[in-house]
Amino acid sequence: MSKGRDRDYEREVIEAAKRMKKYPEHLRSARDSDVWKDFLINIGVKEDIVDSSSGSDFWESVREKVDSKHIQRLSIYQQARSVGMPAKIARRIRDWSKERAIEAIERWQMAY
Amino acid sequence: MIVRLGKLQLRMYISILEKRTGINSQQYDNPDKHTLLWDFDRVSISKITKSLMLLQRKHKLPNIMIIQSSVKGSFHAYCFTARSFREVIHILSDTPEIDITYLRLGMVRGYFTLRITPRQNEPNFKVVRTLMSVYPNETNINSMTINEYLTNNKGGKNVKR
Repeated sequence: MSKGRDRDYEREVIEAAKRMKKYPEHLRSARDSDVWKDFLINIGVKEDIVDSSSGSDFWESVREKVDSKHIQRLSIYQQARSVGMPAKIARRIRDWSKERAIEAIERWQMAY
Repeated sequence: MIVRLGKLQLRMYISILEKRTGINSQQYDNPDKHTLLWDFDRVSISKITKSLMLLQRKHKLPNIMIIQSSVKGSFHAYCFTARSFREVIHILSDTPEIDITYLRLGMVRGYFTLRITPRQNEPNFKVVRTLMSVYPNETNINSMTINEYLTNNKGGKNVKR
């Protein structure tokens, strides 16, 4: 092993030790917890997905569980109104391109 | 009960504690990274949805799951990110409806905790809404940490209007 690699390895070990030192002792990993698994299964995640714990599978499972009507996206008008933009202006920016409208909403949010 | 003896003061309290289990934002394998967990008390679901959707877009967050945590209209929200503690504080403090006591305690402690066991005589948790995003999850659902704690909090008493 070259000197450079040795140094890299040493640095990695030191960083890992620092992380371990920082880590609070009374916290356990959720991976081995039956309570966390029960919680996930209870909210509708399938048991095999909880064990395999792949991110995309998890969301597919949640999507199956909740009614599709609950999966929402805010329209440009709703987003504009939620940051306090008057209805008259919010209606006007609806016709703009999406990028320009979002930029306008963000500017409004920063300014007011 | 408070007993005063000159300059000394003795306080005694008796309270019934309940054991609960909580999931923490800090990750087990990578303690520098945190998952985003929100706690809301007596806020309407529509207000929460609007705030979280704006945050999702602003901070490029992955899917957010909103869970009803008790019958009183309290909600929890989960977003499986791997962000620094500083960034997590920035995002949570940017949520106007967040339970301020939850935010304050989490900031002092160094991680945020949400209850995952139901209170006595209360129904179980229920997913009420998911806010879908184009950004993928940044972490695994099992990468977080868990702990047990004793509390006399019956919920909802942190609300300040």
